[in-house]
Amino acid sequence: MNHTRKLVYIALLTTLSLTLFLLEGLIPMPFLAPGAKLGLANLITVLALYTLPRWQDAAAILLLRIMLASLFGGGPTVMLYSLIGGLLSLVIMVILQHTGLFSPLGVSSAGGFVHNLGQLLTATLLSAHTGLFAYLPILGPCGLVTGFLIGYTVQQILPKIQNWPSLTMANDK
Amino acid sequence: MVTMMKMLKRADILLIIILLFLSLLPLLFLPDSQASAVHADITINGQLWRRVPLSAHKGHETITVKTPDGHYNTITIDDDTIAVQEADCPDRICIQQGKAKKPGDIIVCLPHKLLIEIKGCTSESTSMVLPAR
Repeated sequence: MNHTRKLVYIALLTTLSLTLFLLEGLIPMPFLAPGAKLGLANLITVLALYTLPRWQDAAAILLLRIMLASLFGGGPTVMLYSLIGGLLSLVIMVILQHTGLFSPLGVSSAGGFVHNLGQLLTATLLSAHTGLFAYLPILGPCGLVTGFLIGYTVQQILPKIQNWPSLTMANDK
Repeated sequence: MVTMMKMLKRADILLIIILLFLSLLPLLFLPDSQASAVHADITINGQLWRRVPLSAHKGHETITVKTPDGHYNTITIDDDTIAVQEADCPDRICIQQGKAKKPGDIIVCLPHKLLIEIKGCTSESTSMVLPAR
């Protein structure tokens, strides 16, 4: 993948990620616990991990999306939650992916779980109230389910975009 | 569904089960962490005299409060309830008020300006305000 193609691809994924994030904000969600949501934007993070040659590129997409999302109506608190949740989840997913033991389903499920765990940790740090972990039995499985569905979607997408010229070049490299 | 099962590796299933177990872990620690928030504040003449943890309390305990002008109230704590057992105030209303247990319960002894308030959060009313995500 040459430099320009990669740049365009990263920009495209960032746009998609931001769009999904904003779109998700429009869908009313049943209140299960504070912070429980679909995390559609993470779909792009997982996709980036499996299509781009370097995980740093996925990290760039994630960071760009979080910064843009906070400009589009999140604010610093939301940004902090997204940052800690997103980065922790990315780190875990990169590690799990590189062990080679797990399919995107497992990697993404763990990512969803750690994302929610990271946000609970942030909330605990901000409020200095460990009782918040009472929400983990709800938020943990929620993250697992959304992560699993995202992993499933990525597995469905991957074979269909293998024919993209820019991506096939990435695989040759 | 069949294809989804094929895509799942054994390690995936193991990972998901471990994470499920991890997310249920707080349930083991939860009951006492939330219950321990309940305590009784004993104030005399508007000033906090003593804070007694209630939910973690087991057994019988008696404490005597001496007011600045020489009167007394004997308070008993029985497991997670608190009551005034004896007092030398003229009306004895504090004794008649009986046992206090739930957050929000109050025992007062007006002549001695003594106030026992139960405070803390119950499991159904967590008054936490979280920043919206």
